[in-house]
Amino acid sequence: MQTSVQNAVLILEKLRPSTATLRAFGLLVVLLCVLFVASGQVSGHQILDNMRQAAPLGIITLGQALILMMGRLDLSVGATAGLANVVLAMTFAGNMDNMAYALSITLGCGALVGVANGLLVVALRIPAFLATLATSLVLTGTTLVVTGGSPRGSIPAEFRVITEGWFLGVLPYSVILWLAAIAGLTLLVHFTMPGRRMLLAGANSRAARLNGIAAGRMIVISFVFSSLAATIGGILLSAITGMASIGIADAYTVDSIAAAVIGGAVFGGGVFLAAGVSIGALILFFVQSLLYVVSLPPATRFIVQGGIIVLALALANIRRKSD
Amino acid sequence: MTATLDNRSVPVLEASGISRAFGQNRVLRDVSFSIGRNEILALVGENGAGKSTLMNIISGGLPQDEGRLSLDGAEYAPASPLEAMRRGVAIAHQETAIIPDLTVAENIFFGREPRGPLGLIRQDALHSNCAELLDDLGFSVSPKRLGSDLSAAELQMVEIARAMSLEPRVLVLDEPTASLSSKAAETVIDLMQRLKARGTSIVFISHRLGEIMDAADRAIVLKDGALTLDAAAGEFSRDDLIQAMVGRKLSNIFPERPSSFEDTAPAIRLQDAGNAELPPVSLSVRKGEVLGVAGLEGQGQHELAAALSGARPFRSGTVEIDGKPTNISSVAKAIALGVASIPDDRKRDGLALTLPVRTNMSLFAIGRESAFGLLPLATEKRFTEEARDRFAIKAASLEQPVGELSGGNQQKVVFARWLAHTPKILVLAEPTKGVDIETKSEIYRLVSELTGKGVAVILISSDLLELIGLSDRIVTVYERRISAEIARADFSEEHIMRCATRHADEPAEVVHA
Amino acid sequence: MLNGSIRFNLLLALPALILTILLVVFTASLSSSFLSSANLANLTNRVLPLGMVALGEAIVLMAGRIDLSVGTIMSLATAIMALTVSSIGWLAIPLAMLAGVGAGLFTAAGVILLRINPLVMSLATAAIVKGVTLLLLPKPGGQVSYDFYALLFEGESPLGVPLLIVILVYGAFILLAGWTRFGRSIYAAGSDPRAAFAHGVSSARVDLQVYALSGALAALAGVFLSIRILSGDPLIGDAYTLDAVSAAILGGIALKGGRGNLIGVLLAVISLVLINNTFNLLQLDTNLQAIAKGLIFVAALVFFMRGKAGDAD
Repeated sequence: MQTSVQNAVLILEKLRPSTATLRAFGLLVVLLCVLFVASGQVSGHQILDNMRQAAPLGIITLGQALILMMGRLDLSVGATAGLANVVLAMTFAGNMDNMAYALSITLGCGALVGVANGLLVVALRIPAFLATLATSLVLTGTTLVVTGGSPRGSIPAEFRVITEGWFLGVLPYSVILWLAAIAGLTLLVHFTMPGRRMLLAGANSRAARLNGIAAGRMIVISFVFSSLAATIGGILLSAITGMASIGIADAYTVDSIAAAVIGGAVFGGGVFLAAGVSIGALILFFVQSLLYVVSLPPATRFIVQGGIIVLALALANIRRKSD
Repeated sequence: MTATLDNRSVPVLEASGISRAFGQNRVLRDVSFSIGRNEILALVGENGAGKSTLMNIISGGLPQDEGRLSLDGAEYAPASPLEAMRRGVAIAHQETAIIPDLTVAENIFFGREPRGPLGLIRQDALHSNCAELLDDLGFSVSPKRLGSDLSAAELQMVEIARAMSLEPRVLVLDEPTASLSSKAAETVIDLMQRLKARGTSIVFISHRLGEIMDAADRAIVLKDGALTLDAAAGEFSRDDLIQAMVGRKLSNIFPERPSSFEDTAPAIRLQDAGNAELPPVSLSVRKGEVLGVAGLEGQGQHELAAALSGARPFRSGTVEIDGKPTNISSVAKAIALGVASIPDDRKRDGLALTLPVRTNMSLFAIGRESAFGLLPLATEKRFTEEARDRFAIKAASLEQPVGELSGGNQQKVVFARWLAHTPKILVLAEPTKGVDIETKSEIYRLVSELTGKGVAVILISSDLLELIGLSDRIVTVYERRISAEIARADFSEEHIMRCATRHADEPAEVVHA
Repeated sequence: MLNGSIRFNLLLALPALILTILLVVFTASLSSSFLSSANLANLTNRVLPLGMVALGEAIVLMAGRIDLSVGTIMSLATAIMALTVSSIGWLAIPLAMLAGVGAGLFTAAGVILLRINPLVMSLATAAIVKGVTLLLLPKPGGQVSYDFYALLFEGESPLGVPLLIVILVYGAFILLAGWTRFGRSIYAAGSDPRAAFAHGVSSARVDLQVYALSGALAALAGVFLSIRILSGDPLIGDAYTLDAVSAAILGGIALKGGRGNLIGVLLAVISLVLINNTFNLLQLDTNLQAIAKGLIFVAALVFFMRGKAGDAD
């Protein structure tokens, strides 16, 4: 009895948000105020509706954050999400009866990409960013070859409920999915032995191996998680757009890195803040909508993307130095 | 050997009242000394006593907080190693600064290459100049070899040659002989004598008391950043040096060892065990015994440690633990068998520096307690708090990244991890490298405590004093084979060094002659 | 002449040499038109831009860094050319190169001052440069006067101006890398920054130099590209980043820095162009070409890195 109380206290202690997460949250609040001033109205419903649209980026960012925890970078998430989009539309072919088939094929492709990335990194010892860059090239090529440049199929309206629908009219389904992913990954990394081994393998794979952890396996698994997250992100995106298009998800690669660093992710591994990076994704989404609201050209999106990465990392480094 | 009063009266380099601190840690306290012309000055001290910091200050690598330096009577405050070199003070580091992808010649004359038209480097002249220099110094290293290709001894020679190529007035040699065989060390000592005859003043750091007694005109000893001895040759004995270094008799640092292990059973026995990197070795360690492994760098000690830890398993021969044949086929298996390994490079092989102390420490403690794959948080908290108190680990909190701790405290974290469950066999590789003296004696006490419980210890160390003080028996390794086994009664630095630099079948007299 | 580390580094170019010879033999046997002077001229025209951008990337890699912004810098240069040639004439070329140097210095500043991981910093630079390019030139267009084209690419002889430029630029950089103190400092910083520092090499200075060079050369590549297509294209350079890294690695430049020779890079560039040429001769679908490129890249990485890394990092 006493230990269970003790455990509960420890669990609560571990769930306390980190300073990086709180900082990101503060930034989000400031941003919402700015949006309120700019557009004159911000309601809870509106925020949830924005979260609904930000869910694909949010889930992809969670995968990227996991790879960052492993001290690596996944530059193939955009191409993987794009592949999911095309494959899902093709396999669905606009017919809800194909759902099980379509989802299993799409998720299967995603898992395969992750395995390929992981093996390139672990078995062939290719640096992760180059391996995933090559994968992304192959995926983009494959998408084009398979579709011949004009993707076929569509997403049935019934399926689009996952991004368009609201649970009891209160919470969008896609937000529920996102929250579930946050909870699941938090549980995995911070509360389970496999997660602990992953964390150690990410922070120093050599030391982990010398302490009996199968570091290579952990790295492959993390890439599978990341590719699956990208695939789920791609599926949600497909549900939003309802159709397949080429190159629709390309920007997610750099977006997910930017979102993760806003949320406190660091290069070098060993840090995983699921809530923080999700807030980061939301911030990035709001900033991008803000650009739209004040009708800046779409090109500014890239400048903001790069600027945010530099700014977030610079601030993190300066803070670390001053500590 | 001939420090005359004359030399002393005209010091080339003089340091007075040098102090230096890193944060809270005062590394040097009010150190004053001087070097005369044609003088060989030995600087002695334990690891962490402040020797390297002092030498770095002299050679422009670090500024002092307090105190003054003068060179030939003039103010000397070098802002960089480059400026120190220009003033005639050159240093050869122990951790050599040889660029692996450049050749010996390119390294030695880096930034001072002979150039032809258009400022293009004249490669042929560069390499022939270098050959001349090496010839002159009596080093037999080809100038055309790549830095990455050199052995530890050759790297040291190139490092010295680089410092010498500047024709310095004061040459600082940081442990020039630490990685050298007796023969190569003699070459270096011989070179020092020749340079001295040419008018160069030399400061050299060494742990080998024998060569200090032989070569130094004067010795100064640092202990905990303060000068504890400054005496001319003939005015000090080996015991004086040791006393000044450790501040007490050696017997007080090292715990008492039991006299005999005849009756105890062997904990581990290797019979012709080997793998691709390690020729077959046979040895056994009894329960509660400390087996020291002595040898120069790269003589197979680390391959042995890697095989015992399961990282690079034995492929041939037999391994018996507690009399039962077994196979340490992986790290996980080693852990299961009760073989604990403390790596020599803890930052690279032992710790996840960015993660908290807690996470680094608890790995094995929680691994066995986990139910349904969940982390046993309460167990982790209890274990880490207990371990912190038991090992007196100084950290702001258990959540502090382990990389921010001092070397000694980092090492304690590694120990604490492995000692979650008392192992049967403990393999220690350089357990006190980069560790302060307090932690050092704590580690020695710990080893003694563990052997009292019947743990067999294999101690791989390059610190002869440590090997002699802690071991019950020592084997020496040379060219990846065991060259001798020495009983406690026969321990002496000279004897161990002799055995560590010859094959088992070479008679000792030949080397001695 | 070839004493010292240059000899070892030249050996690293050997695989690229063999690959080039094999490809020449293979392609020549595949199609009789391969050796026609028109096709050869076409080849040198393609070697020119890739050669320049790969050269910059190779220098950055030699210093132990990486630059993933070179492709976007090429695009930016084409945009600047397309927008300004008509008003300021040839001055557009130094202007474009200045922009490239600026982008390189931006990356270097992030790496040195803000201590951001070079890989990520160059990725951020890439995003920003891409945004700026798209602001300047939202879609392919503008005009680059035909005079430049006439000067550079006219004539069906493979022994034209492009070949001359490649030989001159590579010759200069090969001398610079192998026979000057500046080149030594790049190799030293890439090989072991700590040891290099002890030799008086500041890694910050080397970073600044190599990223500036890489930016300038990427911009030069973009200039040549815009002259060839007679216009600007805000996305045309993107694909070149991977090609540039590919060529450097195929050419024997070590990803960890400190090793490799630029001759190998030139040979690798020629190989990549030949492979492309072969695909075209085989009338392979362009999308299949993208897949093949990715696989070649993986093969190059595997071939050159296996067993060297020693770890999965």
